[in-house]
Amino acid sequence: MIDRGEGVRSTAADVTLGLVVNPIAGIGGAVGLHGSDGAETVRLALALGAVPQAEDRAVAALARFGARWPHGRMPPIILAGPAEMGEAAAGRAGLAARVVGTIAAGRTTADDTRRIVATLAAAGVDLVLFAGGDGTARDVAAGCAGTGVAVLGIPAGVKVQSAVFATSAATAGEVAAAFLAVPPDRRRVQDREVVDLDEDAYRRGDVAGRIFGELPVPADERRVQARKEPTPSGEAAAIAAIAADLAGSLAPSARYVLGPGSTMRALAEGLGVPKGLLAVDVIELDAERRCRVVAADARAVVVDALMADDRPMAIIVAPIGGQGFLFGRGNQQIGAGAIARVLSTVGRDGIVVAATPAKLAALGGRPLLVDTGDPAVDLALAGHIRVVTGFRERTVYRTRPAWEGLR
Amino acid sequence: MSASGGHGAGGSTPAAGPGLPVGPKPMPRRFHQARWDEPIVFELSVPGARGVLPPETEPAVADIVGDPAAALPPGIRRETPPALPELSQVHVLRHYDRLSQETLGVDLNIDVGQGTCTMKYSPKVNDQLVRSHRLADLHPLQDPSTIQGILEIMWRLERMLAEISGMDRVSLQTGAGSAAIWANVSMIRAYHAARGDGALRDEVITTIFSHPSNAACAKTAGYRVITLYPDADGYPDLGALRAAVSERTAALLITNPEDTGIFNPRIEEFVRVVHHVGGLASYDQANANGILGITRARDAGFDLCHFNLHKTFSTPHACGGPAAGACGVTDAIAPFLPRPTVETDGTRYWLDDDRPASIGKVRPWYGVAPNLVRAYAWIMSLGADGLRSVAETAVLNNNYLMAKVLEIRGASAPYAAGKRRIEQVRYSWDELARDTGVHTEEIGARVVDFGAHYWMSHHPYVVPEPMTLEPTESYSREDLDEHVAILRTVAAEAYADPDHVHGAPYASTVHRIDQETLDDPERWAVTWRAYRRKYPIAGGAATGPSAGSPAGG
Ligand SMILES: Cc1ncc(COP(=O)(O)O)c(C=O)c1O
Repeated sequence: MIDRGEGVRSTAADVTLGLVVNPIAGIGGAVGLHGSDGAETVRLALALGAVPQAEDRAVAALARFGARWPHGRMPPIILAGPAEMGEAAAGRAGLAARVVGTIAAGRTTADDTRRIVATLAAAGVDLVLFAGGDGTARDVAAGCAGTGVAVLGIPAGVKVQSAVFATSAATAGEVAAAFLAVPPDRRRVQDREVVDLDEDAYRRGDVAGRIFGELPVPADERRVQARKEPTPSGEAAAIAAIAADLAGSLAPSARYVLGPGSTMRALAEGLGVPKGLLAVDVIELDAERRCRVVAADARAVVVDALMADDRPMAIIVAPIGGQGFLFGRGNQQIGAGAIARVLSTVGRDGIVVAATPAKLAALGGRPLLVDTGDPAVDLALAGHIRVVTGFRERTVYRTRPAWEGLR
Repeated sequence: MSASGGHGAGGSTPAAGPGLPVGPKPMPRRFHQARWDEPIVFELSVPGARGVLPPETEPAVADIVGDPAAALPPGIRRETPPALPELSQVHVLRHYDRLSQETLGVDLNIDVGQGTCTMKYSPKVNDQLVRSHRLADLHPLQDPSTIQGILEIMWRLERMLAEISGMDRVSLQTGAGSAAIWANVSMIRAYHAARGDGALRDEVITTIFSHPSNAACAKTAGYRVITLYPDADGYPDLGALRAAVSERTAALLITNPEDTGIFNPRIEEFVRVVHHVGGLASYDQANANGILGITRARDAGFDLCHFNLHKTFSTPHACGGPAAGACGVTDAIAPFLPRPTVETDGTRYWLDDDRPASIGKVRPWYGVAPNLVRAYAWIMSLGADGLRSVAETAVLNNNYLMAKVLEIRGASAPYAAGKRRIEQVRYSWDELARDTGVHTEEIGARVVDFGAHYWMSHHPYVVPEPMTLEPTESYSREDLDEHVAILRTVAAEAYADPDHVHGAPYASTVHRIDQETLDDPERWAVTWRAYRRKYPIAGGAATGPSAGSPAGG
C-alpha cells in the first residue's frame, strides 16, 4: 500500500473531485453486443434501441456521495467533463460543477476521456471518479499516466473486469466520500490492475484478457472490485505469501521465466530485482542463490533462445484476470517452443503456476485456460496442474485448451 | 410484503379477533438489543468492596490451625494479594447479566444462521447432572479407585462413539474440534514416522469446502497443504485428487458432507486413492448431525475421524471452549492416541499413561469431563433409534428450510441443482448483490436487527456472496418460518431500499467495526509482545502504530 498523501492541499475546504462519464459505456451490453468500443458498435447499439445508462449510474454514485458527505463540512469542488461527460450527471444529482474541456456533444470519443482526465489530473483533483467499463478505465489510465492521481470507477460498462471499480454505483459514491472526507495524509490508495479484453475477439466468443496498467485506487477491499471478500489479511498479504514460498523454492544456478502481473512482480521484488507489471522477464540465480535479470521485458525469440540452455529452468506464471488464462493471453512472449522445451526437459514441475485463493474462487469453477498456438503443447498442459496458492499451500486445478469446447 | 424494517413481512400471523385489545405480533418480530456500554469488570472495581464477608476465625480455631499460609512453600507464596476486581455480589451479577444481554445465542434466538456450527439445543437436565456435587467435587488428582464412576462414563462414551463411527478406539481428551483435528494430524505424523516414512511424506490433501482447521492443523504440524477445489457439480474433484497424490502424501483430511451440505457419494473412492499411495484418510465428522446412525467413517475405509461433542452431541460450544472433541481411530493408529487412555477389565477402570508411542497429552488431565457427561447423558436419553431420528429430523428441517429460502428473490443454492442436501446448505446471494449492490455481509448486519445471527467465515468466497444455514433437529417449523421471514424481509428491503440495508444494523449492540484494521497485518497484535511493540505506551496511553511502520521494529 502506498501513501500518496503528500503534495495535496491540506484543508478540507478545497477538496476537489474530478468527474468523467463515458456516455456510451454499457450500451452494447444491453443489446447483447459484448462491449461498446468502436463507433460502429455504438451506432448499431443505438439502432437496436439501446438506452445509455452510464449517466444514471453516475447520478446514483453522486447521490450516495452527497448523502455520505459529512454534515457541516464544506462540500468538495467538483470539476466535471462537459454536458453528457459529467456536467449533466452532476446537475441531476443536485451538485454544482465546474466544467473542464470541450466535446462535440453526441459524438464523444475515447480521446475526449483521455483529454479530460489529463486536465483533471493537471488541475490537482484529489480523486478522479469515472463512469464506464474496462475500455474507459484504459482511457483514464492513459489520460492520467504518471500523475499519481487517485482514481475510482463507477461500474457502468459491459466489461468491468478491472480491479479499479467499486462494487456498484452507490458504493462508488460511498468510497469516494469516505476517501475525500479524511485529511490527505490519511488517505490510502492501492495500485490496482486495469484489465481489458480485445473486444473484436470477445464478440466472437474468444475471451482474451490483458493487463493494461495500474491505477492508484482508494484502499477499500470490501467495496472495490475485483471484489475480494474480506479475507483475514487481504489480497496483498496473500500475494506476499505466494512470493515468499516461490522465492524459497527457487534452485541455485537455475534460470526462470517470470510472466506478467502483480504476483510475479512481488516475487521479483522479494528476490531484489526490478520487474515491469506487463513484462515477461528472464532471471537467473547463481550458486549462492543471488538473483539477476538476464532479459527484461523479453520478446518471444529472446525467451526461446534463453530457454535453449542446459541449466535447470522453469516458467513461473500467474493466471490473468477473470478469465484464468495461463498461457496465450497477455504473456504470448512465452511461446509454445519455450513451454515445450521445459515440458520435455523438466516435465510438468517446470511449469509453476501461482494464484491467490480469491483469484481461483473468482473463476467460479471454470478451468484454467491455455492457448499457446501449438495444440500439442496445449494438450500436454491439459488435465490438472499444481498451483501455488500461499506459503506452503497448493492446489491441483483443472486446465484445458481455450479452443476446446469453443468450437 | 413490506420493505420497512420489522413489520408484517411474513404474512402467516393469525388474524386478530374482533374484540381483542392487542393485535397479533408482526413477523418477523420487532426487536431491539440491549446496549449497556458496560465497562470491563476491572474498571468497575471499588477498593474495599466485597461480595462475601467470611466470619472472623474463632480464636480457638485460629490457635489450633495457626497461619495457614505458613504451610505453603515460599516459592508459591504471594507477597502481594492478587489484583482482582473488588465488587459486591449484585454488581457482579448485574455486570454479567448485562453482558449476556448484549449477545445472541442458541438459548435466546433462532440460531440456524450459524451454519457449520450445529447450534442445537443443549438440554438443561444434563447441566443438572454436571452441577451435581458428585461430579463438581471430583478432582483429577484423586486416586482412580475413588473416581470409578466418571471413568466408567468415559469408557462407555468411548464405546458408544466407537460404535457410531465404526472405529476401534476413541480418545475424549481434546477440548475442541480443531484440537481434535490437531491430535489426528499428530497421530498421522507419528504413524508415518514410526514406519520410517515421516520425512518423505510431507504433504496433506484437503478440500476447499472442508473446514479450514484441517488445512491449518496440517500446516501447523509442518505439512505442505494441497487444497482441492470442487468440480462443476460441487463435489470434490476426484481427478484433481488422483493428480495430487504421490509417495509424498501423508493423508487426506476431508469433511463429508462438505460445507455445501452435499454428500460426496464417491467418498470410498477418495479413501482408496489415498490408501493406494500409502497415505491415511481422516474424516472430519464435526458435523455428523445428518448422518448419525446412517453412515459411518469406518465403513468408507477411513483410518481416523473426529466428532465435535459440542455440535452433534449437544454439549455447549462454550464460546470457543472448553468444548469437547472426540478422536476415533482404527487399531493400527491406536498406539499413537493421546495419553492417558481409559482402560477396564470389565469391573475396574484405570487411566493408562504407559503408552510409549503416544503423541502425548493434548489437554490437561483427561479432557473436559463435564462435557463428556453431558454427551453421555444425551446419547443415553435418545438411544440408537433416537440418534437416527435426530439425523432424519435435521435433514428434513434442512430441506424444508432450503425450499423456503429458494423462494426468496435473489437467493440461490449453487451446485447439485434439484438434489436434496444433508444437514446444511451454502446459499448464495450473488443474484441479489448484482441486482441491488447489497452484499452478504450487509445482509448479515441487517438480520441482527431482527434478533437473528449470521455466520460470516466463508473465505475464500468460492460460492459468491455466501450464507450458510444449518437448522439441526432442534428447531420447529415455526422457528424455521420465522427465520425465513427475516431473510425474506431483508432481501425485499435490498430491492426496495438498498440504502436502508447498507446502513444496518440499527437495533443491535455494536454498529460498525473498522474492518480495515483486521485486514492489515501491521496492526495485528496476536501476542502481548507484539502488542507492546506495535502500540508503545506513550505517557500512559497506548498509541496506535504509526502508519505502516510499527514502532520499535
Ligand atoms: C467441519 C468442522 N470441522 C472442525 C471444526 C472446528 O471445531 P472447533 O470450532 O470446535 O474447533 C468445525 C467448527 O466450525 C467444523 O464445522
